[in-house]
Amino acid sequence: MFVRQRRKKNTDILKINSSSAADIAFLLLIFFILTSSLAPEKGLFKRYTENNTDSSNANKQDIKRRNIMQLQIDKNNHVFWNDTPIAIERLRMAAVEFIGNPEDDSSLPEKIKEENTFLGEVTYTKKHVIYLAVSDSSNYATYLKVLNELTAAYREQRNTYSETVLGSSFLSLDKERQGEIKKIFAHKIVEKEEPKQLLSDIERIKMP
Amino acid sequence: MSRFRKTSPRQVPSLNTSSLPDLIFTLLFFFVIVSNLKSPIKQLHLNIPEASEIQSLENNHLVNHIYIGKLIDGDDGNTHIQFNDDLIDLGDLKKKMIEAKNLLDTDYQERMIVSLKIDRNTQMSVVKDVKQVLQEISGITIHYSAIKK
Repeated sequence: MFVRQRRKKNTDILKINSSSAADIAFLLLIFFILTSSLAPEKGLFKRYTENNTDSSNANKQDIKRRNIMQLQIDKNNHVFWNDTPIAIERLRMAAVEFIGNPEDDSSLPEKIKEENTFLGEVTYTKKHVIYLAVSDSSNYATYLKVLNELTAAYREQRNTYSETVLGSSFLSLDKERQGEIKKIFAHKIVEKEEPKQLLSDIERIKMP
Repeated sequence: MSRFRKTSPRQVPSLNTSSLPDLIFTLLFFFVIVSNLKSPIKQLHLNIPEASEIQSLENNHLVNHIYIGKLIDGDDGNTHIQFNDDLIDLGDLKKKMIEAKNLLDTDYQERMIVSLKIDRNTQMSVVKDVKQVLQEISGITIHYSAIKK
């Protein structure tokens, strides 16, 4: 005899459609991968090379007055260029003119011709120096602004040079030429301790 | 024979994908653990100045951080220096820098980068002292942190 086994009534199991859980998980994963390398720090680079550390005294004897740009930040955060006050907004233009000396002005750095492996013959202000004397009581913000303007001046001069002499903007040059122009217009900013030191150096310097 | 119902045409059973989210979460946790986000503890109040000529600094193993500013809690009016994670005195800075330099591979030692994050109202005397120490150690590139103007 067959015994009919009464099966328990099947209760409906509520199923949540979990097909979209995988999509959400993918989104989280991609978000995390992207944000883990986010927002690199930004700022001004300054490399201390022979050009801008306090190097040998022998070099100083040969510096002509025209090759020096004397910048000073005093304790009230005022900027002085060759002892005359200058607004920071005007500093960039003044520095570009100093570094480039486009019209071969005799009160600005002398231009020297040189042979360059990638660029041929180059004429530039090889011996220019920017002396920067910063007072101990001045603000860091002012110093950074001055550094910013000088960096901008070098960048603009590099671009002007590459446009007038090589015919194209600096960024569109190939790596070797960019490197050579960077070397020619390397940052020659010497940071001295006190203005007194600056003046005593200048006294030792030949007048043009 | 009539008791056996002819089975409906057999279909290929569909894949059970209910464990796919579990797999994805496993992968996610793998990435969480493998990528370590280095965020140094900031003990100094830093109001970073702005600049326009900024370039980005790849946060790689060659970078050491120096923070200069006033303390966040317990401000005593003095400017303090923090090197990576610890507050230090100026006299210890050179030793710590050389230690950090020696931790790098010899090939990379001359390419060490120091990122300076300095509060905008800091007196230049402190900054100059720090720079003096850095200049004495050769082969260091200084990166002044700034916000894009």
